[in-house]
Amino acid sequence: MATVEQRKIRCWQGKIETEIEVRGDGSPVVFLHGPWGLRGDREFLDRLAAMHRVYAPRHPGTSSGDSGAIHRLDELWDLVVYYGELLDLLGLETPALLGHSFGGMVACEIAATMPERAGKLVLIDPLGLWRDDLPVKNWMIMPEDQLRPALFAEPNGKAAQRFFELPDESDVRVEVQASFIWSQACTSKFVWPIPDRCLKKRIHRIAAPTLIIWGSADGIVSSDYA
Amino acid sequence: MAGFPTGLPTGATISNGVIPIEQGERYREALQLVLKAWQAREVFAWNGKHYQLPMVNLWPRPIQQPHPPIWIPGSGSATTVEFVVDRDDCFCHLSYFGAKNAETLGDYYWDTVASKGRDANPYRLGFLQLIGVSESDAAAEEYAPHVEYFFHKLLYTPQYYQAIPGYQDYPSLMRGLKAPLRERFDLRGLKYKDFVDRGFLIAGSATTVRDQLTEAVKRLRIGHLLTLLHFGSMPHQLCLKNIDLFCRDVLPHIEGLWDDEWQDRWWPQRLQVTRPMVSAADGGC
Repeated sequence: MATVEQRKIRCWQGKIETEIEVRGDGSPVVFLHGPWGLRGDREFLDRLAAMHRVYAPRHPGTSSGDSGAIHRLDELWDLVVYYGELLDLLGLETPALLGHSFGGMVACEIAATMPERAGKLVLIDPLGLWRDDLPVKNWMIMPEDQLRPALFAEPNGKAAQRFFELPDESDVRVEVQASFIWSQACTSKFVWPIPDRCLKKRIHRIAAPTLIIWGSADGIVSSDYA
Repeated sequence: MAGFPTGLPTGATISNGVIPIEQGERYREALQLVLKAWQAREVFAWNGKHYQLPMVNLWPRPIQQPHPPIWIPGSGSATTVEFVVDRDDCFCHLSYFGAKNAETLGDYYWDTVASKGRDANPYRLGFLQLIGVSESDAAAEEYAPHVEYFFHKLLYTPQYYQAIPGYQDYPSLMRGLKAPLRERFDLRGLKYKDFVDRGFLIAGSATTVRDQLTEAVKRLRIGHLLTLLHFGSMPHQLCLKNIDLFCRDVLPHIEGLWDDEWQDRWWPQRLQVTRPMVSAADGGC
């Protein structure tokens, strides 16, 4: 497991504190997590850190001790400008932007708004587009027996178990549950009720070499979007 | 009175597309806008976050000045309780689960009232209770299919539609996970007897109902009892009977419980009358 440095950066005129997990050495990669927080991504990030210096910020409102930060940003435009500021403070000129699900949509928006700031773009099952014949499922109002097979090709496999399992110890359990729920609450501010904020009007501005990765069994956003 | 419900998460976010995490702040801004519109003597511009209106010019204005008493419902959110106590409005506890299941939130409410330096006036609390009055306790089973219809069908919402992430703010979310103010029930697993035994429905003869209501009113310090006498699939005649029996044989025994101690500041001034205590023998209402 890579050594993880926990960084805290205060930005947005001091009104938002962001926790950033930094690990590995190599060319810089900024990883933007999906609606459920960073908990399920750490194994992946450790592997990525073997070749890269990986910066994984938590989306506004999801850093511990600053749940109110989400109320300092009102809309997607604020979020994109906020990420521009965060990249400045991290001293990252043209990092690779890697985003999963909601994070993929944010990475696209950053790369479309500020094409010069995205060295490369990697999108894993990103949100952001909409086809009436392939509606994106609303992951926030699905019971677990539908959510599991929508998120995991093997609903009872190890990855799914790790994602949904809760610790036995009650305090830690509450923390994990709260983080899981609040991460969805905060990220949904920029995609509810339909995860389409007209990225299609801006997507032509993306200049970075882009890799698109999609799970063929994705039950939230169909791989036909790829 | 003017009631300002915050709205259920399903109605606001699923049916109307309101962003869950903004539901509360949107509600609070709307309340401020309405209050200003009611009281302003001049046209004004409203530059809010959720509402931008260049010219607010309300007509006609409310008769009650500065505005009608405000009642705000809540069902189990600590944040709503604190908001209402801070504003000094009437908090209507729309639990629907009955007084027996409302003690945790009721205690939290009165603790909050005390900690914020407000008086213990029972009229600042409203409480909704399902009630079925009949000739005897056994005869009250005539309400069975209707209360089951109410809880099994009309009030039933799957958990994953109720607990949409963001509908509660972070402090209420943490409180709900650690020590919830509102117990959750598998409504479809309960039958008439369960609803009565567990206090969801206060049903029986007038004597039974009045005894249980008196106990509930005193225990929770309820000033405004919101009586749900028509619920579920009740036919018209049964509804009339329930209202009639309640007004004749129950209401006269409970309506003046607090009047000798407290003034109702959350009731329209022109309707403030001293109510003579009427015994059932006098014919009630």
